[in-house]
Amino acid sequence: MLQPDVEAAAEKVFAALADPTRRAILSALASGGPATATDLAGRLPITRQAIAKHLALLTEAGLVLAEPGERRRVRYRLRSAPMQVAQQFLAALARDWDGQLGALKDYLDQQASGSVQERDNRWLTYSPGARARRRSCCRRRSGSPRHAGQPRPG
Amino acid sequence: MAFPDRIERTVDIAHPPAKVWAALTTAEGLSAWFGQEASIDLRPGGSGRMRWDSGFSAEMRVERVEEPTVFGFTWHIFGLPEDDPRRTYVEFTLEPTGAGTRLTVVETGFAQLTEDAHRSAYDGNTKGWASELGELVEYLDAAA
Repeated sequence: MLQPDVEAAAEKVFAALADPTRRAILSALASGGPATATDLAGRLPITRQAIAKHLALLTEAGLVLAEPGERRRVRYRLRSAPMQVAQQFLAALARDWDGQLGALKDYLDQQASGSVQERDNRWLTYSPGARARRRSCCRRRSGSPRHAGQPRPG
Repeated sequence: MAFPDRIERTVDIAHPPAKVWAALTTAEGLSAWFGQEASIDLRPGGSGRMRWDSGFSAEMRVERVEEPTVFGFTWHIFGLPEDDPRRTYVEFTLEPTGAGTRLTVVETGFAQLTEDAHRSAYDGNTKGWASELGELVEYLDAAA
């Protein structure tokens, strides 16, 4: 079982990510580096007041660190440690052993029967986005490049 | 929130353990059902690698090889930084059942906690990079 502080960290991460504005703020900090509320207001279609409110919540959740910036403005920096707890949770959910073991059985059956069929690569891996795309997309058994859009980790 | 540390699945396969073992532990077998390309050095401490057409790849480190009953390896946890030392452990157990095999796969380690030691090391790295980059800028400024 999880220690309470770890569970609390995961809860805060998911609560933070549930809001599109907060996702946009976190994305901006991840891609552009530390920024002030004013910087973010210039880059996102959100008022500075709303950004400040969300940054306070994100700081409280430990997902961003407030630090002194230039001209006595507070600068916010992404803090990724709590995200890792949530990532591990997602990694467990995304591990598709059911699909893999099904593929293993199919392979052994084909091998035994001597038939050569094009394989349905079921390795959806880890990426929740890839899983969602697969679900909403096609279940063709042909060798279409359906994984072409799967993001690389890291 | 229930946080799974362990995933366990058992399947009955209508093929003898030797066949299943080959599918799990050879490059040819792994590339037929798991990755799309695979290589493996089948000995404890040996490394394996699988690649998918998407460009995704997974590095494995072989931990247990007890032909034809136990095959175990560790691999990186998706989503964590490449240099993160935490890994999950995957163990396949093959048990003969008549003409077939009962195959159990257990993957453990998803709930490795973000220990304080790790957290401080990680935060230390993050701060370290910030200060290293700062020092680089200072060095370049001074050299100009």
